[in-house]
Amino acid sequence: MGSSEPRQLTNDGMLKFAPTFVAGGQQVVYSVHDVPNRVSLMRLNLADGAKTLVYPSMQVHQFDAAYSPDGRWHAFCKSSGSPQLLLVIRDEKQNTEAAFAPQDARGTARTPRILPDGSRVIFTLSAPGGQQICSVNMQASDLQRITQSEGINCWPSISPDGRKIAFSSSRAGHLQLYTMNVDGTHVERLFESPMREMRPAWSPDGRRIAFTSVRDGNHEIYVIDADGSGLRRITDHPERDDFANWHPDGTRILAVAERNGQHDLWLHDVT
Amino acid sequence: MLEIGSFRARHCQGVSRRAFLKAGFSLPLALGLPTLQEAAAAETPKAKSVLLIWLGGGPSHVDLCDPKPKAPLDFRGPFASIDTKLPGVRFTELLPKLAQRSDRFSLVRTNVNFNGGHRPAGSIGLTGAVASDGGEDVRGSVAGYPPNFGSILARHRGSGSLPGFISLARGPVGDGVGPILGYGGGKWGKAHDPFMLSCSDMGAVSIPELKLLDGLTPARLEDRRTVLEELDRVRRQADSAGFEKWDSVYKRAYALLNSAGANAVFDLSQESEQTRAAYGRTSFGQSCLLGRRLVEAGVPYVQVNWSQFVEVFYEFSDYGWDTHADNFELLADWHGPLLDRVFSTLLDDMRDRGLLDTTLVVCMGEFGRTPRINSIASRDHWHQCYFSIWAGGGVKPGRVIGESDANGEFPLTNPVTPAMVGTTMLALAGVSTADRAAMKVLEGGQSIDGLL
Repeated sequence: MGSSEPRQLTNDGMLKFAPTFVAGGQQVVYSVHDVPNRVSLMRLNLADGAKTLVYPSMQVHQFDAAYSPDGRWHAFCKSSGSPQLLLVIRDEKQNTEAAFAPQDARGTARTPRILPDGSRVIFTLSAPGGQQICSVNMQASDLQRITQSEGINCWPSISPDGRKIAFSSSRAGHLQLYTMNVDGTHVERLFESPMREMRPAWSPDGRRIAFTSVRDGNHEIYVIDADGSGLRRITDHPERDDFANWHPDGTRILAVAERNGQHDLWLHDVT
Repeated sequence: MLEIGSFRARHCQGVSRRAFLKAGFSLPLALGLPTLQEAAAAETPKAKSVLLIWLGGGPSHVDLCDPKPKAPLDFRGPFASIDTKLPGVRFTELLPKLAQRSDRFSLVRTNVNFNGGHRPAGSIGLTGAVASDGGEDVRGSVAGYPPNFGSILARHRGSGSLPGFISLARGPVGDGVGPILGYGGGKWGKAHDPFMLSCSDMGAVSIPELKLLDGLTPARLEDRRTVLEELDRVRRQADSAGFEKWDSVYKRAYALLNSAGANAVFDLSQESEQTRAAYGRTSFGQSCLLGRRLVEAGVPYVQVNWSQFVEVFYEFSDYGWDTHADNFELLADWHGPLLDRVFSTLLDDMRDRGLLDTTLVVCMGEFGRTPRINSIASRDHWHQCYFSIWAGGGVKPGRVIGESDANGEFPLTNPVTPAMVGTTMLALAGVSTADRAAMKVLEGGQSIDGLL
């Protein structure tokens, strides 16, 4: 468990997922079911608790936000007029935008992550050939497949030095955690578990990986060393804890917790 | 073996035609005879009410209640399987709470439908129609449709202080093309349609048909003058072409709002915080709680809809079960945990209140999803084999009806048609074979062998 009580950041109870810190840890951007038929990106200012829609005039579902460490690049996914989900890459400095549309009309792009040098976006692409981890350049072109495996591959997380990717894969049966080089070589399974292990998130110092496990029949947050040792449980609650992400200072983990049936953002101390 | 019918299977990949019912599976149905079980159940109704939890869009049976861990990787999917309390039955890891409660319900693993399209399959699933198009005419008209199971039960029971058939959703359920045509009275007319209520994630109840009454809360319901003024305004604003419909809606809303106790039934704030929290602050969770309150108040038939639309991420949609793309992440992120929590809570709550003794609870969709994973790592429509969960109302718990084949593609035993679903529901609710014959519905219907 964390060394101090977790801190609740929101209290509206609406369904949320995929939170990430921005602006050096002063803000959080997350996906929220803010109206009955739409998921929106919401920005939470931690200093005063103010919440604002990232795209107030956007009428389609938008979710899975990612930002480059310097804040210049922003990527997210949005719906279209079909099951297809697009990957959007924004250059906040130039105020330009590029979009990657999967070739298949029903293909989906999910979970974008931006390489630390701002050269490419890693993401999950479901398209003919399966659900693989891929990358495009910042103009949303030059598609490259990083994984080429059976099963599905999802929830990539890039190490702070940009050399490794942690991800989940069902290539050996059910969803387990793996790491690989950013070019897809040297795939290693972190550990074996009888249940699914999901959503790895690399710590800012590159030494640890936070993730969600259902090994006890409930969604809980764990941390493990990047070499697969030193497993440590962060949450222990009969309701769901999920979608872990690190504060830039590496001492706290942001997650979505279901408490009394409501979904809110909580910050856990992991010092 | 005699083929009684065939059906057109519409998939995203194309069209196929398969022979369907075999006489050997359905001799009583073929001969129009009630089974002894059905006759006994109808004479002594076990279920005062039926609560149907409708998972529109087609939940993946292989990823939920009928996993195939030994199937090839391109069938079995990425989820581990777990033990249930039913011997030899496993669920996927997405449903741990339901697995723990599996001795309280019975599971049908071999539901079958006649059509692979959402609206026809939904109509067939909710009416028991045996036509492969659910009775849809060339204009897509509702006029020829058989009535919904809920309409049948409501008519059988007659009028009461509350509507006999209530459907909970943000609006008429269906897909992006339009509503399911078998949603209500069908050929019996709109008077037999369900009364629709919408329940928000925080439990605010409204009447979707009266769009101008958005924001109608239990507190405002108490102010009859305000409500009547609002309804009058609706009436004045209706154009002449739509007046008849509006007038009908007006009358029904007026009757409901003036019925004794209706306001209290809709007021979820009368529940304890603990109970409301257990269902979870989602529209589906609070709708299930409202559904429990409605059957507790004596409403004969309540249909709680997972979503209004079957689609997940279209611009208008509200996260239905039609997971053609991104099936596995969606089920892991959202659909699986939510269904597991809410339906488990509903079973607990119904049991704790003794309501399972008098209420039949059924959870199902219009079909399942392709056991073989599609080219984009997801699953498409599959109506040849899917699941339903049955609890209370005279259903023996802990039974497993039917077995699917090694990949979950087809029933090996006991195919269960929508007509059998409806016949069983109605039999448990006291609608006999003679009653159905008198109403000219589900004639020759057969109940699900082994469930009663």
